[in-house]
Amino acid sequence: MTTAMKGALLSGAILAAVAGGTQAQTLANLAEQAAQSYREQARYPAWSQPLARDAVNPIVSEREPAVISIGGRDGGSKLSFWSDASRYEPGDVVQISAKIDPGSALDNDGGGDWRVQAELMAGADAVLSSLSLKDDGKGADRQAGDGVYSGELLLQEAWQPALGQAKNMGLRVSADNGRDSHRSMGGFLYSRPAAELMGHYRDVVKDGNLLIQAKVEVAQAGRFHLSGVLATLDAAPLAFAQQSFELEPGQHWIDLGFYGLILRELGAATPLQLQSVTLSTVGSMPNALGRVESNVLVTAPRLPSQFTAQPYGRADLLEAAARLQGDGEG
Amino acid sequence: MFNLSAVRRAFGLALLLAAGDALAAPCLIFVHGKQTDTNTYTSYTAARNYWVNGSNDFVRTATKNYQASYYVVGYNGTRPYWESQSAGEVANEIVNATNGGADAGGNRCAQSYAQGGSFWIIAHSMGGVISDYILGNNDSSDPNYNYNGPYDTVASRVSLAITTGGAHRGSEGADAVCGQSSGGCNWFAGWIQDCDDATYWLRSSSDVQVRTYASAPAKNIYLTGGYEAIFGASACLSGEDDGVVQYASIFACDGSAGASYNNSNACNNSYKQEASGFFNLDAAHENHGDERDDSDSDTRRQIPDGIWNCSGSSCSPNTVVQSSMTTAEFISILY
Repeated sequence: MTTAMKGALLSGAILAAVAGGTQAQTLANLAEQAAQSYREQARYPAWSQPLARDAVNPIVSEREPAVISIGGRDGGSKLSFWSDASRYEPGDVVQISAKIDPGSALDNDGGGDWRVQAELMAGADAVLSSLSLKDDGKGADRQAGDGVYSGELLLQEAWQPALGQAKNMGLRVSADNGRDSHRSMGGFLYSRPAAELMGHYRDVVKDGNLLIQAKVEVAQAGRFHLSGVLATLDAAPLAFAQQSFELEPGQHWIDLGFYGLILRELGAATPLQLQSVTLSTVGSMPNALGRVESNVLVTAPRLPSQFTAQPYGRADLLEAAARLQGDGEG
Repeated sequence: MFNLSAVRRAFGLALLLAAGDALAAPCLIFVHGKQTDTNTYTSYTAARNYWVNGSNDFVRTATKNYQASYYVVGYNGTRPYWESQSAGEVANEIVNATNGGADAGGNRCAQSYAQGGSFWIIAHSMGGVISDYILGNNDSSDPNYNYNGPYDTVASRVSLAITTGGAHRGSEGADAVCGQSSGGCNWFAGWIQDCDDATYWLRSSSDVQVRTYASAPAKNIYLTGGYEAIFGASACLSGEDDGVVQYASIFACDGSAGASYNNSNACNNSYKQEASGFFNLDAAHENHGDERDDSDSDTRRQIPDGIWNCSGSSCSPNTVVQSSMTTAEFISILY
């Protein structure tokens, strides 16, 4: 008796037991699903993958600052807060905003004015600085009385990480009106990359792949990670690419390769744009993330036939698919 | 009267069948979640008991009463997910498992990788985040390639990972605990009692998210989790949750880690934290503890792009697909 047969019998027994209250259910074969997925993924290298139709730009999405919320259940009041970016560098000003939703519960009346405080933390317990967030339409606050409390914080040199490194900064925000009290922690990255993009890019086709070449300035030797998203001129993301490098101080041209088959399969000869590109200093955690540069290059128009028609054939994924077939068949 | 030789033959056949099962089935490698002490790192018994609640045993059930072979990983669950005693330890132990080595309790996979074995990671809670980090840093193009262990070997040898209650996008509970929240949000069960270093790195802030420091996983990560609330704690979590981790995190959704999802609208396979490699399985009426100890045989529901089929096609989201099945039982019928 094969494992698959016994599994089917087991599944059948379980499914029969619940047949009264639910429809007849079966499980899709997970091993087969995974194997099929790996055969598809194996067509492209790990360093360059196509993005699904209607996909969001993964670089932009990962850099979205988090909105931290607490409260709000059962009609109660709720605190939400955020910073205007997920990463900053020395000299940057952090814009902090907090919104109070008073909720709809009948007993929400009775509280006084909200007092909203923000604390910058170097860790779980170490407070570096604190400030009051205001809803008075002055300074960092755009509009008085709109329920959004704002403030800003200059990142001091004394707090900065070493060159090529980054620090996680906690941002603890509290709101209190004498009746309700909320407090939670968000944060951002204080980053000091050891290299930066210089704003010079060019594109070439090499070995059937599209290479985006970026000029970088390295201040300190280390390991660096370059990633980018290629999109149509009307901003639909098409492909992601990444590469890591060990670089010495000085200026360098480095290559970001988009696998040619992805572009060939698109079948269009129109120019594309490098929608996002970023260079981070890696090698220690947290990584010193670099700025995301947007729409920095429009590529030359190229015929699909200039790109490789060869699937990459990732051996590890094809091997995994073969072994999964064994799992599925017993 | 019993015919002894027939009984012996039947017993022998049963042993052979069991041995055959162990060889054919994947070896299940269990990776536990966050801890408030180092016990699971220093004691095999603690690591093994993570999966046990009284007479209920997740490992026993998921392996079909040990018909499938298994290996229990123990790491330091008080450290950030990316450190050497967490991700590094897990990676080294998985490679040991795939080499045919035994865990600290003497359990080993039926076949090594060289002998043709296959290996599935079964991870709970923070174990899911560690899986993301390892499998997303296995290639030399990745930002934290082989950061503190043989991630490349792990990724090449593991067939897939299943996470239950995975904190892929962090936990709003960790935000509350590290923010020293008061009122209804100051109580959290188990692993987020205090803001230790692991908890600090399990917040929902972008700067600590695993997706910020890893690429798409080299092998697929399949997602299941619970929607049984825990009184008090769930009030601090958005949408459905298991009392510790909210759906946006359990199902590794793109967008806000605090987005409000339920069984009908949980993010589908096209809206995950990475461009590829994350897939929905289903959801169970279990809380965060139930998800890993086989103690709550309860309702299971389909979620968008889930694995259950009804009458030949994918069940509608929120359909009750099982009325009484633990996550361990569910895993046992996936292979």
